[in-house]
Amino acid sequence: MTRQFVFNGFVTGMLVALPAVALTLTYGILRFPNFAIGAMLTAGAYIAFGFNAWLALPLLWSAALGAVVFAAVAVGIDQAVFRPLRERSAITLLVASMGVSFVLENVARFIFGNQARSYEIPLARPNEILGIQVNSEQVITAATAVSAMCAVYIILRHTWLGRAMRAVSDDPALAAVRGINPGRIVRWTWALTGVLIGIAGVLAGMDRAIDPLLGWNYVVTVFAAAILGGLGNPLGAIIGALTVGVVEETSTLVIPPNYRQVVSFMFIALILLIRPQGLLGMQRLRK
Amino acid sequence: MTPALHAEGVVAGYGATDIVKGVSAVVPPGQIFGVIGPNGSGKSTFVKALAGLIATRRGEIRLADRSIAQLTPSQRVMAGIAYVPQEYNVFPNLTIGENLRVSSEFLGARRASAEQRDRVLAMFPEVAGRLKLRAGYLSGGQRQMLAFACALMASPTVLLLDEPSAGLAPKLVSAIFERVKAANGTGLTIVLVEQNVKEAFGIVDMVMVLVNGTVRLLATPNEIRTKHDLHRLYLG
Repeated sequence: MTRQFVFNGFVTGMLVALPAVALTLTYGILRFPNFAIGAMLTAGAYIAFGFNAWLALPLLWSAALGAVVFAAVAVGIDQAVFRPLRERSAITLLVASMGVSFVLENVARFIFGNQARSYEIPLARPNEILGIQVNSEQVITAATAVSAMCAVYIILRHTWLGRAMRAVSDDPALAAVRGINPGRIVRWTWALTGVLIGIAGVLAGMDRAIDPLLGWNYVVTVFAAAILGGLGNPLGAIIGALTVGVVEETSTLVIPPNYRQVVSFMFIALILLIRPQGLLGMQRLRK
Repeated sequence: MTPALHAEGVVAGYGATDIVKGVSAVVPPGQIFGVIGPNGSGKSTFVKALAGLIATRRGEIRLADRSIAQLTPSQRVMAGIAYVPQEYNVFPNLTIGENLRVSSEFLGARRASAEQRDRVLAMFPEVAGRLKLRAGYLSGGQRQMLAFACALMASPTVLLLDEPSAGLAPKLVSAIFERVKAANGTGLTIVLVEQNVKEAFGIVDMVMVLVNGTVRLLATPNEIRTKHDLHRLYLG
């Protein structure tokens, strides 16, 4: 029984890791917590739903196309909303992201309606492995999340884009006098986070029904994961997501499932009290 | 001969305040041009304006024949200017190797060749043997050396150095000034902002004394030593 909950929590953690890494990447570069992460996740789920249900494309293609389209949407949101506010405080940008969240949610409501939707995917019985029930959605979620995390790692560590993103994250002014165009790197960062959020939206839509509030179910958990790992640290976000996922899921052994998000709130409160820089916060060197 | 760098009536500052008030300077190619002055005289603001980190409110800046006053900092690097800030001059979470790499890989045609990289590493043995170490773990002097090396990776025509000796031990100060001289020996034009007047006078060709954001004097180190009292110049 406990093993099953730990496994489920691990898979949920992998799903949460994608938006948590997206949140931490934008925080690292732009220094504001993007509150619209939940609504963006919803939008990503709906875009893929459009390809899947309206154009009758297989879910794999719908997810891939949806991620690319949402990457463009994320860049567009940045250029229209966040770019004019770039020099403002983090609080201003946070409030702007709340506005973006509100607009995205209502655009989804306007286009797709309020009723719950789901992807066109075949139903399958779960398989039992070592006494744990494993369904195909969980396998897809785990495989997709691990692939996406590996891709992000390779991009950050071994490509020009990753080096430039880390340089801008360290010091945007110094990056500029080293010949890096910070504006271009910001756009690439939004594109990358857009892909991650788009993919996470599809995985969330496979896990739950797609409705205009889909992303809200993950907002607190995503923030808890990113804060636990240390905002701005992608590896920390992954560790934080897996930890929060497993603890949230296993907590339902002792508290009613409706209260599981209380665990995330407690994580945020405890971490901010005890170790505000997060688990891996010390690994990031200050100037 | 066309100057390597020509600033004319540059006005720059922060908020509503002008810190640099109409500074002009002509730097011939291959020279080390010193900028000295008391604290708050606008030396650092002037080089930041040259590098594009602070907007030039009025005036003109030319790099050889090209006007660069309206270019962004990254465009100025592409044009041939490199700038080493006094502090916060390396990316602490990137390795030494990555610091060197990002200093050249976005420069298109100016991208450092393998030979250029080898030349720079040979000039800075302190960093050459530790390419995998994160720059945040380096001491102040080592950071200064790395920042200097990063600037040279961009194969600049004009190098702006903002107080490279600030806060360093005397032995390191000499080492830094030796590298400045060596870099200049390759034909590089250097604008050197310094508080350490004694050391600076040993290597600069021309000195500009800035006081309250304006040019108080332009002379060779020898002329200043023999004909002027620096304290008087500073205090007006």
